[in-house]
This record gives sequence, C-alpha cells and structure tokens, in this order.
Amino acid sequence: MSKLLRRSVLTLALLGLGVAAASAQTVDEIKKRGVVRIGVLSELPPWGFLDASGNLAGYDVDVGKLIAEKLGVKPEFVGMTVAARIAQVMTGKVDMLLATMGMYPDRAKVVQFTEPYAGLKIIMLAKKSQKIEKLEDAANLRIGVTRGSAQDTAITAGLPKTADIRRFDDDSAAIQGLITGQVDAIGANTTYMININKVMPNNDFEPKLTFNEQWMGVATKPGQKQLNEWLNGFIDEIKANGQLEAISQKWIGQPLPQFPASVPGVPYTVQ
Amino acid sequence: MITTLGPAQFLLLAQGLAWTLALSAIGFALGGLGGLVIALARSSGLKWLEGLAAFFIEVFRGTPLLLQLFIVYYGVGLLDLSVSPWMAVSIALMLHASAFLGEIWRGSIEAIPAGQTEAALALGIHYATRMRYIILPQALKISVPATIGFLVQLVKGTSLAAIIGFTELSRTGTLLSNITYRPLLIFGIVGLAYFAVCWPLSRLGRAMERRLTPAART
Repeated sequence: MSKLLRRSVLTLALLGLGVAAASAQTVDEIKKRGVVRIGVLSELPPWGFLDASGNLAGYDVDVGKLIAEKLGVKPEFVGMTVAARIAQVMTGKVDMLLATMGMYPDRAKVVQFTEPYAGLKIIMLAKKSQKIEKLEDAANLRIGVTRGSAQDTAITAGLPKTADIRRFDDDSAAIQGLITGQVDAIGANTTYMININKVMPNNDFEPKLTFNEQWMGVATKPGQKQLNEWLNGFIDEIKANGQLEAISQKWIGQPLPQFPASVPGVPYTVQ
Repeated sequence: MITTLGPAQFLLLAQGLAWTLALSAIGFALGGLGGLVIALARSSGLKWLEGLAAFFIEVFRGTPLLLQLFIVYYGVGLLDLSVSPWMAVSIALMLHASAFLGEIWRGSIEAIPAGQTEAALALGIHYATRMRYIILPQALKISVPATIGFLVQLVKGTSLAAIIGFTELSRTGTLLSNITYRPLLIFGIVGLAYFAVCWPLSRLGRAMERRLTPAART
C-alpha cells in the first residue's frame, strides 16, 4: 500500500513540475520567440476583464495588442489577480504587466515601471443627498473600501481611528455594499462610476472627494534596460499619434489626462 | 464590463466546476489511500504506531485546511523548494482527507466485534488476509454514511484552493461577480452548482448503505 502511495505521490510530483517559462530579458529575445507574454487583470472592467465572449479585453489589453503589433509578434495575454501580479512578472511567467498597476514608491522598489500610459483618480462615492465636502464630513459614516487599495490607504490615513471603515475583499463587494446600503460611502476610483452606470443606469451616486491621482505604468522585472527603453519609446509614440487617446475614449469615455513628467519615488527608467 | 450572462460565462462556470470536481477527486483518492494507512496504523495494536497515527490525526484535524494549503504552498516555497500549485493542493488535500478518513475508518474497524479477530487468529488466518476478507468488508458498510458526509465536506472545502491560485467554482463566481457587479445572481448559480454535486453524493451514500446492508433494512 505504501508503495502505491509513494508511486502516486511521485506521479503527481512529475505532473506538477511544469517547466517554468524563462522570461525574455531583451526585446530581441521576445522578437525571436515570436510571442510577447503580457499579464493583465481578468476582473477589473474597463481595464482588464473577460468580456461577454470570455476573452480578455479592456484598456490594458488594447495597449498590449499595440505593443505586440509594434514588436511584430503575437500577444499572449495572461489573466491574473491583483494579489498575484507582482509574483507573476518576478518569476518570469510573463514578460511585462499591464495590470492597472498604480505607480507607487513601495512597488517601484520591487518592479521597474515605465512612464505612465493611463491614469485615474482615487475618489469617494456616495449618494447625491449625502453631504460630504471634506473628508471630516465622513467621519461618522459607514465607509466601505477594498482592502489594501489606494483608497483604503487614503481614507484610513485621513480619518480618526474611531471611524467606521469596512474593508471588503474586492471592488464589486464594496460597490455592492454601497448599492445595498450597508455602507454610506465608498472609497473608489473614477472608473467605478462607468461600471455602476452600466449596471444601474438610474442610480443617484456621485463622486464626492478626490484623494489623489494614480498613474499606471508598464511593469517589468528590474534591470531590463533595453525592454524598459523600448516600452518608454513605444508609449511616447502612441501618446503622440493618437492611438492611446482612441483607447482612452473607447474604454473610459474621456480624453487622456495630462501625464506628469515624473512620479515621486517612481523612476521611469532603469537606474 | 458585461451586464448579462451568456454562454461564455456559463462555460467559465463549467470550467470552474470541472476544477472543483478534479480537486475533490484528487483529495478523495489520495486521502482514501492515506486514510486506509492511518486507519490500519491506528488499529494495529502496536503502541508506538497507534500513537504516531493519533498524533497525525490530531494535527491535521485540529488545524484549518486553509492553513495547511498555505503552509504547503508558500511555506515550503520559503525553503527554496519549488512546489507547483497542483503538487501543493494534492499534498494538502491528501493530508487533510487522510486524517479525517483515517479516524472515520478506525472507528469502523474497531466497531467489528473483537471475537471475529480472535476467531481468525485461532484459525491461523494472518493479518493481511484477516483485514482484507473479514474486517474491512464489514467496516466498509459501517463507514459509508460518515465517509460520504466527509466527501460532501471535501467538495465544498476545495474552494479554499483558490488561495493558491486555482480558479475553481467559488473563485470563478468571485471573478464573474467582479465583472458583472451581480454577486447575488452569480453566487446563487454557484450555490446551485455545489448543491447539484453534493446532493447526488448524499443519495449515492444512502443507496450504497441500503445495498451493503440489506438484512438490516427489512
């Protein structure tokens, strides 16, 4: 019996030892391989999500398609969660992330960002009748946030410890909390409204406060100088020729924001 | 953003269900083997072996499956050993199921009157034959309800494999609810899918019980 057991464990071990794909270090290696592997989120509309036909789509995916086109290779999109994305690029499962990843200094210590290709605002959403003009007005309200998100950080830092901040596991749970009235306001980003308007066309929610602007860049493993330079050149190009503007209009319904020349603590190039 | 569920979404749910079934099957198959070893060790009559098996049962029955999955996947990874998610989930589900099934089956083995073992010994029938032909077939009958009960629990417990990256049924539900913003509808469907798997299992258990013990049912 124990022999059989050992054999089945061994068989499973062999099955499990999937060969980890080595990530390309350079643009040439990606071109030679003929495929660029791009990590995108699979559940964050309108950035990266599985569309009605079950394919990955969104702002990030469209930018990824342009990258592949420009490189002259086929794109291979890998859908992932927010929690797994950094591990996926660091272990070389994908060449780069276009995963709606906000450019923050703590992340820049781990991955290499390019210049931003997208932006959004971190805001607070509530019913129109709810009076919130400054953050202190919300001190006695029940506030929902997505655990660990940028809005969680901003709201937690701005309110006293006694505030009733309820942390949800994901965006849809926080939004559901707002819709069903379990919370009075939620920390959100500008794209929540696009989604809520689609699901509930006659809702009476509106943006109340703006905490900060968040910039999103392409993330690669640190030290990949050639790839980083190529990507920065590519982003400059699609900003200049209107392709990025078209993507922004298509998914966000807004013109591109004025991108900053630098983000504090987040270098755009390999140092 | 999508607002309606179409064939593609149901296909995703079906794929999630397939993962859930695969994980359950692995857990039950490996746990069944491990559980048999544990049950035999636990009723072997050898003090040290019984103690060892009892310790194993207490550890893996007394800690959450979530924690076991986490330790096997991330903890072993820290020791510089690469564990694939499949490997990790197989090991964790095996340990978990072995402990529960081992204890269920130990009870069933010990429920067989000692007189049968004594009679077998008197006839010179040794251990392997005694277990295979006398004790285990009878113990099997006794263990069916509890085993099926555990299997139903295991099916639902596989949802925890989502923390190491398996997109099984529950995780698919979360994903679709994030895309559609319709959690009640999605999780309603997910709940029905679990029920559709677990209910026939319970029925099967009842049918097996009836078939294995015809005399007791008349």
